[in-house]
Amino acid sequence: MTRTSGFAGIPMPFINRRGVLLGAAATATLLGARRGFAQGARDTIVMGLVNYPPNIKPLENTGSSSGAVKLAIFRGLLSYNADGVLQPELAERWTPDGTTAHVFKLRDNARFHNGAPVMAEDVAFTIGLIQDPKYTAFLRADFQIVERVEIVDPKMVRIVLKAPSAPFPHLLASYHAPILSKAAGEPDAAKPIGAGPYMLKSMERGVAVEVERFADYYRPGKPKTPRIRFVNYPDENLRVAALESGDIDVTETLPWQAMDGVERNPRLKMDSTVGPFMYLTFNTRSGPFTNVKLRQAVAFACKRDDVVKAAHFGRGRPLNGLPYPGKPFSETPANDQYRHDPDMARKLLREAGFPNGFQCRLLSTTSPTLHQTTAEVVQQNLAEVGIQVELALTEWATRTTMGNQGRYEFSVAGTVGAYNDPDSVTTFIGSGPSAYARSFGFSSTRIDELLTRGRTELDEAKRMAIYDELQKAAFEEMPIVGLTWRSQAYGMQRGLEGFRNFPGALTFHSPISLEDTVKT
Amino acid sequence: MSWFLKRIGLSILLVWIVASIVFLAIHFVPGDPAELLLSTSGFAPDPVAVEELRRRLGLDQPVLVQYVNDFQRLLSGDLGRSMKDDSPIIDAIARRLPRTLELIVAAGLMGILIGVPAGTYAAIRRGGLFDRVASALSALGLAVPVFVMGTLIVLLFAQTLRWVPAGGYVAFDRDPWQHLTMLAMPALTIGLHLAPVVFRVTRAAVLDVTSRDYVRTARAKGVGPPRVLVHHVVRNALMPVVTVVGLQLGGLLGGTVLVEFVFNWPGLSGLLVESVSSRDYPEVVAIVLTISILFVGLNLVIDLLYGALDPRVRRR
Repeated sequence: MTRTSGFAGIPMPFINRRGVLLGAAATATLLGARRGFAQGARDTIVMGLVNYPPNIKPLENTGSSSGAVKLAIFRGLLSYNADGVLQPELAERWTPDGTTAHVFKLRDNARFHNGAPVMAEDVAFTIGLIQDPKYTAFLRADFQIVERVEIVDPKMVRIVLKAPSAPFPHLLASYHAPILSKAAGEPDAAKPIGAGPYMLKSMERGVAVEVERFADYYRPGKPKTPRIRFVNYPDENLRVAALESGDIDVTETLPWQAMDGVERNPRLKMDSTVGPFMYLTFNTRSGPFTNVKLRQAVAFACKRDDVVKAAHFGRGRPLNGLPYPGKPFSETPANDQYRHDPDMARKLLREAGFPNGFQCRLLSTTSPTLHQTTAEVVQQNLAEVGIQVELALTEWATRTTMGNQGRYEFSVAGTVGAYNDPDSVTTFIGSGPSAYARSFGFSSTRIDELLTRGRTELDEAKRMAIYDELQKAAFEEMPIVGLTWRSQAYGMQRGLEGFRNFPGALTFHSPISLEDTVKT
Repeated sequence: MSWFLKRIGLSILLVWIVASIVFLAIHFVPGDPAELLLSTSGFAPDPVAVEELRRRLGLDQPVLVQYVNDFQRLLSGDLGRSMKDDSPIIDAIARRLPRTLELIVAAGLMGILIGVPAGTYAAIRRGGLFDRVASALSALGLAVPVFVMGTLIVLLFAQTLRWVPAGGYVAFDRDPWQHLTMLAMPALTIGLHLAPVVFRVTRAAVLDVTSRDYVRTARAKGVGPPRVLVHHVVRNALMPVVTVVGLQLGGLLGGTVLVEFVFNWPGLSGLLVESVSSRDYPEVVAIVLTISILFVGLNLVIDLLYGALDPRVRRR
């Protein structure tokens, strides 16, 4: 039997090589004709977010993505400029009054989105909301330092503190403490009313948030671009692909593995800073790490350069002490307490009565991946000195609960300080209710006293001495073990101008610069 | 009549059991919605705020009380509100379910459009070059996971050729063309995974049918070859294809997660994953309830149809 063409001699003109090629060419032309729509309009900046904002409650901390949207809509009494320096924002002038009071003169032309001018009573109203547990404000505990808010005249307030506080101005610049309109009443997450450069236009839950220019914004000529569309890209690879294909103009948290590619790409650029950090927390109430010598042994056994290489793709540097953000505090010699020294680690193990090492479990999370990679490197490093580590990897939600309840021996953590001031380490080493960001059960009167002294001292030289002493105390008591500073970058189109990554711990304040950003 | 009632009763029982299992599972897995919501950024949340939020969300009640309250609410037809932003969950489902269905339908169409002609052609040129190449490709298509396929498609069409956006979603009424372009990539990804299955079933079925007597008879009485192929072979071979495609598409209802994630397609599976990871209890229960009602409902309709068409089924 000879083979015939087609079934039972049926000619098949519709499937042949030429037909397929023609079809492909036609499809390409059709799609090619639409090329360029991805670049988008000049009057809209498209920003890629890591998550869709869970909500836009002005006083709650629901992550950096919500923070970006909040910074478009709201403004506080103070803020930061692109160099990370505090500046008056809704306040036109700001003067300390003695050691425990600050006086703020409000701008004449500052208005809320409901048309009402920003008045002294709005400031008092907002601070009242933050202090009230009912509004679940992120800074509620911090704002307990405010004794009272005096309305000096309709445009002037005097905030009186219970004690002097060096970091207090930073609280007023936080994007979790924007000034809210008293006339608008209780904040409504669905209809946020702020005094920022943009008003909420639409929210497509899970997809995108759009804001548009507020015509009565107090800075003349700002914002420079009429609209911003914040688009959620939960998959970091797709977020990078969207940047490369021109779908988005700027993205927050450029993944470390993509940084080389963005730097090499002639169409793109990136702006990075070293701000967030990785560290280890311990269960100091039960298990092996109740012994401070074992915590110290871990500190000497970790090879921080390996973590930088593996988890941050070389984009970071070792953290050999407490995570003091920003100069001059981070540069002091005392802030270099432990380096990779396996012999020292073994010596400490012997002193602790574990000459042959011991077994323990390290809690970490599978997402973000860098937490898992960090745990794997620590596991290897500790094996070199005889500490056998078993990894307990869970998803994020489980990890937080296990951390809060102390169901771990030691764990990998990563975050960023609230502001560029060493007082921000209080969250991680000060006494307080149990939380996954700090070591379970750890409490030290000596460290707490130093933290309080550092916070209430206003003279910078004296503060530096106090924070040096705190480093020594932290080395002796080892509340946490620092691992690395990691780089945090925004990736953007080369033609995007005005967007700046704010330095250090302020990196998530960068969306303030959206009001200066234009597509050229 | 009692047979029909029994079927319906069983279906309702099944949905209730599924919803209860999911409710208990999500409550007993570690992770607290209030804590998670207030600590998204890796900071330790203020415990007073966490307590207040837990109280407001009713999480301070014993699980059994929460169960009774939630199911009373569900029985009255109210799916509840999201713990994240207090928005009605029914709205989110009403918005997301059609997108997943649209994706499944488009993927099914692509799978059929690729699989049926290729399978037919491979069968009638059995052992030929096309057959061998297509069979090898279909093995490859089945073996490559959807997220790898998806990533490769993004790399080729969005990053290298820059023909289409890398993913995302635009509503049809906002820009129909852009909507379809954005639908094309995820649909193609699932379609390419589906096509090998369709290809194989079609190929086997066509081979089977071509040797049937009625095909020989048709040819013997002088029917033209194209007509034999279309009317006698393919039409009869399509029965198993339709069955298989139907089964595959049903399975996709909760299974488009990876593709939705890779392409940022805001469908129902993606919402389910997001609510599980943020422990948005009412949202998880509502979505699983919706999916199980669809599944069980579909099966019920088929069961009832069988029963109505064939009285023997009712006696079994």
